[in-house]
Amino acid sequence: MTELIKALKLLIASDGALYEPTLKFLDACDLTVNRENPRRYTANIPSLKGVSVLFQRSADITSKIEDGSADLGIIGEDRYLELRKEDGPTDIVKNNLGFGACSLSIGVPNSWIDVDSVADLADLATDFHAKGLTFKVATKSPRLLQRFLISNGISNFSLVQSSGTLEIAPAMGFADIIADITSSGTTMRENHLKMIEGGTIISSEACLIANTQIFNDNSKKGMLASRFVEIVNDHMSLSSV
Amino acid sequence: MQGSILIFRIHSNCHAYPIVRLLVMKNNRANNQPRQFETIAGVSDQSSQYVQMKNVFVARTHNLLRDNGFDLVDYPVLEPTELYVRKSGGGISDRLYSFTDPGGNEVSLRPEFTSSVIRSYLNEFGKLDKIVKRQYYGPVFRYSDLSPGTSLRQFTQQGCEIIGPVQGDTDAEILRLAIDSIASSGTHSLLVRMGNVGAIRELLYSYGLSEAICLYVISNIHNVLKGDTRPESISLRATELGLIHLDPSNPVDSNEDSSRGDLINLVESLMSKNLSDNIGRRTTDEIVDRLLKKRENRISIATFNNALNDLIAFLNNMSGIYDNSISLDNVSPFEKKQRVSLGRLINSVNSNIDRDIEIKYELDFAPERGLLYYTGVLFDISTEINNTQIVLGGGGRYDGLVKSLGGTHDVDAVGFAINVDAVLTNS
Repeated sequence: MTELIKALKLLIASDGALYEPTLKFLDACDLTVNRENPRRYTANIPSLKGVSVLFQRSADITSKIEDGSADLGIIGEDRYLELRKEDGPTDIVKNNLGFGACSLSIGVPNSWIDVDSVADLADLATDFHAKGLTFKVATKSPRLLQRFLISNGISNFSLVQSSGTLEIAPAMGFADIIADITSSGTTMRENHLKMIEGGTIISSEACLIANTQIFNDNSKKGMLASRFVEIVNDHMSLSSV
Repeated sequence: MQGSILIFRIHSNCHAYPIVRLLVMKNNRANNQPRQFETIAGVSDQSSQYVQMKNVFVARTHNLLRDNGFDLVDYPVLEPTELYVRKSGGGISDRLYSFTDPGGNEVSLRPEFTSSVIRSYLNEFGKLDKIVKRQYYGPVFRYSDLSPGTSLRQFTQQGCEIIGPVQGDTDAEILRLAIDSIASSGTHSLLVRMGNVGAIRELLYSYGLSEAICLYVISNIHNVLKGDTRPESISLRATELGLIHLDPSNPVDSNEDSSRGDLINLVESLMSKNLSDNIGRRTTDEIVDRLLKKRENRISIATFNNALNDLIAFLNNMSGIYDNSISLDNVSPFEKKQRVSLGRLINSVNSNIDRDIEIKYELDFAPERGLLYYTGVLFDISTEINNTQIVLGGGGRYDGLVKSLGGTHDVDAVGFAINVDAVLTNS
């Protein structure tokens, strides 16, 4: 167990959309993860001794690297930007890893034929405000959404944070529109929501993040971190040829 | 004991995650000293001497406001988060100390008092246009940048509000009381920066711009005046957003020729058969009416640029230290109106302040704060410390807030609040 604490710790998603693609990506980098059994939450990389792979919920990866419990992580860029501390010790080391593509997009009810752009939302939000109502937007990404709305001149809004199914929010009435992760827009369409012009908040892929202090570490762990990043960079350079 | 807890967890839980956590915790305990707690960033302990000084200041301001007819009222430290968001816009969210209480309600520590004053006014008087004069003091909480001079995220705020159709110049009364309250701390010079959001709106509305476009301009104009953004970028972005149109004769939607009846049928056909209410909180009529209004209110880029350039010229003219000797012969009628109005306000304040204090007035019609809810005069009062202006308080007119927070119509409202800790530490 002391070895685990001394090892370079890489966090990857324990389940969800990024789990399989992350393992495939590492495999393609010749960093194949050896997990003894699927219920074990630690693994290693035989080709790079001294690296421990820890499986975590995607939502916990950023904070674990920020607090120094781990050194590197692979996570969706959207989720990282949503959860990172602005002045924290982490940064993106390599983005656009070529998998986990999705976008955080606004969805409005299909029946709103008067709304087809973000400008319409700005206008509508002021209409709501004038009537003494708050224009409510349901999301799992409040931070990214808030910045997006304000930078697009929409000030009169209230964010409704929900960890459940967002697509149903307008129908249930707990929000007027939603901002959700989508890869093809199918779920939104099936729930009678439409995307609008200028309504993509961020397009995202998986990225490699690090607690940047690790690169100032002259020990074996620091060198391993640099080597890991180098291998990923080499793989990405080859893939782009 | 630690070991037995660890063994119990290992046997009671098949997942490796808790084991790793416990091992890390155990390791930390073995290596670290017991934690010494300190105050979190932006809050501080206050000494007995400081508290005594603060009590004297608060009591003096309270007496001043009481003598001017303001009743002291206390309000909850916790209010629904939405109250503050409704007042200040969604941008305030990252400055609020918000949490979900054990009952599942979204609540926030108060960042200011005005929202509570208006909420209480509506609870008490509903639709009646009652005149009230209220004063308050207590802690407020704002997750702000820790800048020098105002580096507290919890500080004591004291202030007052006049709500209702009061006769007389309440703008002047409020500004005079704000200056008088701060000056009682012994400050020798103050800078009052003032402007009028109502003037900006009046100018933009005169070009036929909608409220949404006005808000867009107001929220970006500060960067233009500072030189961070070029006016052309503002126009370009407004075009990209669809706020304005390169060619207003182009159709705004594919149903340009449809009648109102056709549009109502279209909305209804797009509603889900299973979820008949997937229209959200809007009615079919509201949707169709807005689409028809949108067709009529198309703003061209030329109109937008004229309005923007006119506003920039106005704001550049209406900046700098106020000089009452400036000739009004060659200024536009609109600018003249604003200058006369502000001059009258400043004269009224100066003639009613009986203190040996230097007060400078600076015109700033596009301040960074509060542009969303102020509707008329707004001001902030600062003092210079080491070549930096430290804001000690501010206020203004917000006639639309009663309606925004649930009232049936706009009600006159004006007030100020001062940061007691900033006053005491910078006087």
